[in-house]
Amino acid sequence: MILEARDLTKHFRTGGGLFTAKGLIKAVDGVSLTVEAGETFAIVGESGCGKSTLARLLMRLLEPTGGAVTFDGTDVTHAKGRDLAALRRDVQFIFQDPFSSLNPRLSVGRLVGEPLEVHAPGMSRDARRARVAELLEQVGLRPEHADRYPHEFSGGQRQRIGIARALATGPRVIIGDEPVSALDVSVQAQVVNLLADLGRDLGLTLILIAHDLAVIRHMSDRVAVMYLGRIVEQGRTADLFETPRHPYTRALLDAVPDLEDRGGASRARIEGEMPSPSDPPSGCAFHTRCPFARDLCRSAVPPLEDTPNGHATACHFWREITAPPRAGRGRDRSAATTARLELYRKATEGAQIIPVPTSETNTGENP
Amino acid sequence: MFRPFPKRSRAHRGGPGTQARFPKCRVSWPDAQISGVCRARYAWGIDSPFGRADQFEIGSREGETLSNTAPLLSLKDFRLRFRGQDACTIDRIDLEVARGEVLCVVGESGCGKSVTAMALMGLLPEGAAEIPSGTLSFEGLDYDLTRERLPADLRGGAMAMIFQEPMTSLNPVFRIGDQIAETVLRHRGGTRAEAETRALDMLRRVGLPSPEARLRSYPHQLSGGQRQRVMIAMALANDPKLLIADEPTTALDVTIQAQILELIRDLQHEAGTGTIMITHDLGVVAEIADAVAVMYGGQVVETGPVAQVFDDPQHPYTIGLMESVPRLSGAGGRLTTIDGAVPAIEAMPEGCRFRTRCAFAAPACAARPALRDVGSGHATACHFAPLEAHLRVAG
Repeated sequence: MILEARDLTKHFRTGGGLFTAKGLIKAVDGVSLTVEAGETFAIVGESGCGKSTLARLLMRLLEPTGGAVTFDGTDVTHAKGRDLAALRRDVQFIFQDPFSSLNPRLSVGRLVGEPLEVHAPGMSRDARRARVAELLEQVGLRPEHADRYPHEFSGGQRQRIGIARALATGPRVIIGDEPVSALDVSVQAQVVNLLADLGRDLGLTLILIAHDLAVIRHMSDRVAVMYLGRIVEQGRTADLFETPRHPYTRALLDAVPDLEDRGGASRARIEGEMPSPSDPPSGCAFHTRCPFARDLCRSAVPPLEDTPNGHATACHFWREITAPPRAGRGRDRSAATTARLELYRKATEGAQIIPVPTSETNTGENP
Repeated sequence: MFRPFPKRSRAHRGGPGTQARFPKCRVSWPDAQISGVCRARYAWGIDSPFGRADQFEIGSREGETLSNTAPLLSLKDFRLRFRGQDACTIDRIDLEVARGEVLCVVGESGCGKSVTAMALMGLLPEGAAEIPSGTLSFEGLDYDLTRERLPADLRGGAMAMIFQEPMTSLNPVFRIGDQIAETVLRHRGGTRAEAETRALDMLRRVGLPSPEARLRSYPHQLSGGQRQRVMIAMALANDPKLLIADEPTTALDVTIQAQILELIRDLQHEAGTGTIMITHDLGVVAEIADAVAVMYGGQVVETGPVAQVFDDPQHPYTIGLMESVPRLSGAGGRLTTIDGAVPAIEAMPEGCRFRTRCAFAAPACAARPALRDVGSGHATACHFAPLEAHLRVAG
């Protein structure tokens, strides 16, 4: 276990000025989780569920209101000064927006070298330059890019710069807050592959905050689903996606439009929107949108209970929710199409492609 | 000087005196089909709801009854070049939408999908772009886009648009009800009270909770999903024939996205509205589209009924897009990717614009491939389609 959160809470005070009433937003409200070394742990939920606040608490960008964060056996809940600097070296962050998270006035070399200036002040200028070049190559950029500025790069390349910057101090844990959601699909795939490769090669622990369930399914080993500041379901990614027991997890999975699904329009939908975290519903926070809600749900907060398939779910009635999630009608692909997709995959993996002699083609066209 | 959007002459604008010079414009319009403002203008003796007097012969009423089988909108040979650039951002595209059909235009950022939508709606700033070629036929009337913008009366009336970010496209200082009523007044006329009743009706139809109270809300008091519902209400308030939705659900959470997609689908089914939906999300396309046009670098590289295109993708870009999407149904190994990123417009190669990133690029690709039919309305612009018949792995 490398990172542990115990009963973590973060409450924000709002208002209280001349015009607004005082309020309390329970952004994170009693979250416990453990992240094992080397795994990819994902936190998923809709906007406003507290997932970004949780990520910032885990890396101590925010100080929790209550509970404890333990990194590698040491309590870092209230770490300050030197201890906090040491934590920063080991836990790094990748931001969502590669356009606003890089200082436009610093060259890429300075940007990537900056964490080294802070965390390895003894390093010589040449050594730092060499290390920056190495980092840039690691993330698929070229060493000569060090002299350029962020505006000269595309979104995907900027996200690579952000990743190189996060890798600079040689961290053990990287927390990515929606690291690929601002990118186009083809570029997103490149960055997803890069993160997977880096995680494997450097033995990194990745904590991934995301709203895209398909990305999470692809990348993570374990996943926690959050709703209004609490974890409602947690477990191994494959189990959780195949046998979701919490109605909210099912709703999320049902809502994702799936490219492989030919008959999507008739799926079950949940109504309504997530209530405001400043005025959460009583009992189970999801009861206002839950198709299975009963009286008990309105009064009692369900505890996180272990289910037989090895995940934990916070629903009073999880035993009754057994129907498998939607199974889409798959795409109808002919042998020719399958061959074409295979050919494409081989070509992108670097296989040499040659034309089929004209006599063999049935269309007789010679491109 | 060449003016892509010449200032409309007095005749085009209509106004007193037009009638004398364009007597043939006096066509009798079936009353119910004309919006209030148009009716008023007709009553003043202004030539037409479409502004242009000399076009009246083209789309007569009989023409329209005949054209019920013809597409609602068809865009032909459309090119658009931004001022100061040599290459066309949009390079000879054809799009067609039938009544009641959802056409999804899909592609990555920078492929020209939003620019096409903006140009269709006439929303590009005057002088920003030139249109070297392109004709648009909408509801049986033809417009030569090289010479004119679409008449303003169509915008928000027969042709309506939903934008991606409802927060920036609603006016923050006016109440929701007033904003919807404004479009109703602009296009249908009538009294303020009638317009407000219509606004309330629309808010009910899009499923906004407590619509009476919401009429008096400001945009910032609503959530993202609710704001998008307001945008939809506003767009549909004048019963448009064509709805253009530019990434309408991109800023929304998945559960809300599902609700909004269903709402758009239901409303457009009900009214038989033709819809062009612009998106980068192939899942959304699979869910809502009848037909799809895949764009890359301002060109349509593959088009056809959605089932055909998704079951049997032909163009390397379409295949690349589909293969680079992680699947919800199961963890695959490495994702297949498309190398590099979309080049800037100055760096766009001649011929097939995808060839700088294509795994199959060959010298032949320096010539632009034509959209070629590969069966049942499915067409692709690749010299090597179908790939498996023309190419193989060496050895």
